[in-house]
Amino acid sequence: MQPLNIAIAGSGAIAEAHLDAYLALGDLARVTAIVSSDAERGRALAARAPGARTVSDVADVIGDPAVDAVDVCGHTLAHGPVACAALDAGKDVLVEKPPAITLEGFDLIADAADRSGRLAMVGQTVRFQPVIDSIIRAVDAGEVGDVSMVHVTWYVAHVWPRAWRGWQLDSATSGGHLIHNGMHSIDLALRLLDDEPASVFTRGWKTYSPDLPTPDSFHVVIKGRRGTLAVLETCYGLRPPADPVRRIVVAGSQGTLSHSTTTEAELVNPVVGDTPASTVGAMTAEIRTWLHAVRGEIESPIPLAHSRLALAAAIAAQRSYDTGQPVEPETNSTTEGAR
Amino acid sequence: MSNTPLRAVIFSGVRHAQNYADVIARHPDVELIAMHESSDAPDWAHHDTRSVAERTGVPVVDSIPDDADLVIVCSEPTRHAACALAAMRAGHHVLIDKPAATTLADALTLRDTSRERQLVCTVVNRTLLSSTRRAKATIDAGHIGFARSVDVEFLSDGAQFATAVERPELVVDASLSGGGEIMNFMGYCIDSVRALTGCEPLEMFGYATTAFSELHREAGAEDVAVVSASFTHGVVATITVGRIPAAPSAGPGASTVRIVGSHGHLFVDDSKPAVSVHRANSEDGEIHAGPGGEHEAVTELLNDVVGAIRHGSPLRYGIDDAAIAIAAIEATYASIETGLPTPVRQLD
Repeated sequence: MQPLNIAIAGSGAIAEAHLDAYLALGDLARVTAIVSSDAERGRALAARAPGARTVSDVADVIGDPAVDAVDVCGHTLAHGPVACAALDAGKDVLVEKPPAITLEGFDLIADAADRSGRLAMVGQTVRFQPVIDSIIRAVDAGEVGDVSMVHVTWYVAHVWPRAWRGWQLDSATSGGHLIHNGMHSIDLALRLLDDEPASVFTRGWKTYSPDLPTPDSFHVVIKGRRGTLAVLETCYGLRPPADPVRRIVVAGSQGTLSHSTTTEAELVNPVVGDTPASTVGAMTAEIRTWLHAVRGEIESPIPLAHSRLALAAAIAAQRSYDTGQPVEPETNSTTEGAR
Repeated sequence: MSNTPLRAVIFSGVRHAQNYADVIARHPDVELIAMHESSDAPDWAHHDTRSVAERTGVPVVDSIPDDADLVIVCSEPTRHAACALAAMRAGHHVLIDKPAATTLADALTLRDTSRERQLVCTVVNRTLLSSTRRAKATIDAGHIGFARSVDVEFLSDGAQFATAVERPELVVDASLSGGGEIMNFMGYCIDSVRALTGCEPLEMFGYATTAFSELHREAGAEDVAVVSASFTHGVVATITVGRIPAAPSAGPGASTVRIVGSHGHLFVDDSKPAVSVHRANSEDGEIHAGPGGEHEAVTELLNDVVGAIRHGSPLRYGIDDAAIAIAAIEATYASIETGLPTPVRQLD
């Protein structure tokens, strides 16, 4: 089995996490190029991947027949153009979430995947966390019957490397915090409910700085087309570092699944932070799954239709925050690849 | 006033009356002297009232004795206000099962009557539980800074529905209950946010559904709801409330709160601390450790009532608080009806 040759577009914190995952996967894939506008950072990442080169122009890897697939990280606004170009060049694509800040931008990716016949998967890393994977499997196995309500409380620290830079704070470039980070729990809820969002309402708050242009924390309530309900509370404002607190309740017709990281809190180092056992290894699992899907060995567990619904709900949630009114997500796609 | 026990009468013995009678039996400062039911109450209410009287060993009286110190109203919710009002107009202090009333107008009538007549009027609530009091003390001590967000969940266990509620129609039939599970339980959630933050509800937005219970579906009553709320001083809250087949708790329900503050966070679980039980038949469970649950809430409330009646001590929770909760419930139902965020009427 020949390793797949991967180009990573981007050299930020997420790109580095992706690189770590490829390196952990051994012979399954080989990172052959890092695309970076920051030459020094690009070289630093490339130095960790034997044989990898650094390029400043993504066209250099998209036009390289030796590159099998492109892992699209970097700023959100670049996701769509890079993904589309890579797909049209016959490369398979993993695109970080959010894949776009508009549905029109997302549909361009879906169209490109459709006409190229290549795989495009959105990196919904949360789906690959051990506890989330277990919850999804339990729901799919019918452990709790038909799921009609999901409650996710997810508090993380404000200390995130490169998390509060200008492009993330500017909704014109990130889409806003509800899109940038809200998509995590929204995708999870819709996956568990197996429903389309009919209406979304959002409130947010700024934990520390009233000058933040976007809320660091927010809650979203969702009503699904089948009458399902979700309440999702997300806080990026805790003082301890790392990812310390999450509680999930999944209520079904035959029972309830629940999880709380408080049962593993002793694993979290209050000074340097640590990754709870319920979330550890998610990025590696995501990359591994994508690589196997690229090889055609499995179906992608995250169809573009799922990602489109999550993005539509996240866009609606951002608009709800901006307007103070409930918003109906645009869930009807005319794009074949997103259905 | 002497320190002889307060003489209490339970007015209408439906729903939680037996629970309250059991608490009174263990309370050193309150004595249950009789049960009473309105002459125009339905036959089943008279039947339930007689049943509690027989089990408790007290008579059923046609009229509330003039020397009764306290009337505890345990009728179906839509009759709470009328029963409590009748008792206060006869000069009695009252303790009302929740919700105090099923309309804000009735709640305000109760409030105004208690003010005019200088009578104690309070309502069953959970803010006096030790879990909430400890959390409040922690917040008041400044450990999490200024509260910014509260995430409240109150989920009752549907598996207990037939037994925990003697007559399920008291919950699902709006003519008796005044609404569905929002009316039944959401007051607890509003009380909790207010108790912990000291902030008042401003605006409600809710989605409700009937997802789990055929009884609720047949009656057109919601069994679960999710609510987004804003409170004064920028505090926001989510409320997850209702009845699901299996609550995420070993007990008959799950009552939890998560609070994010400017300088820390805090979690409250009314069922913790607990002792885990691992049985050979695999029916594992938990035993609540120390005081807690409904009995603790009612005992604490009775303590307050005793202090208020005997010594004029202030109530920690009264009809003013209950009226605010009902105002928020009304706003939530209005929001669900219109699909729009709805302001909570601000009370004087």
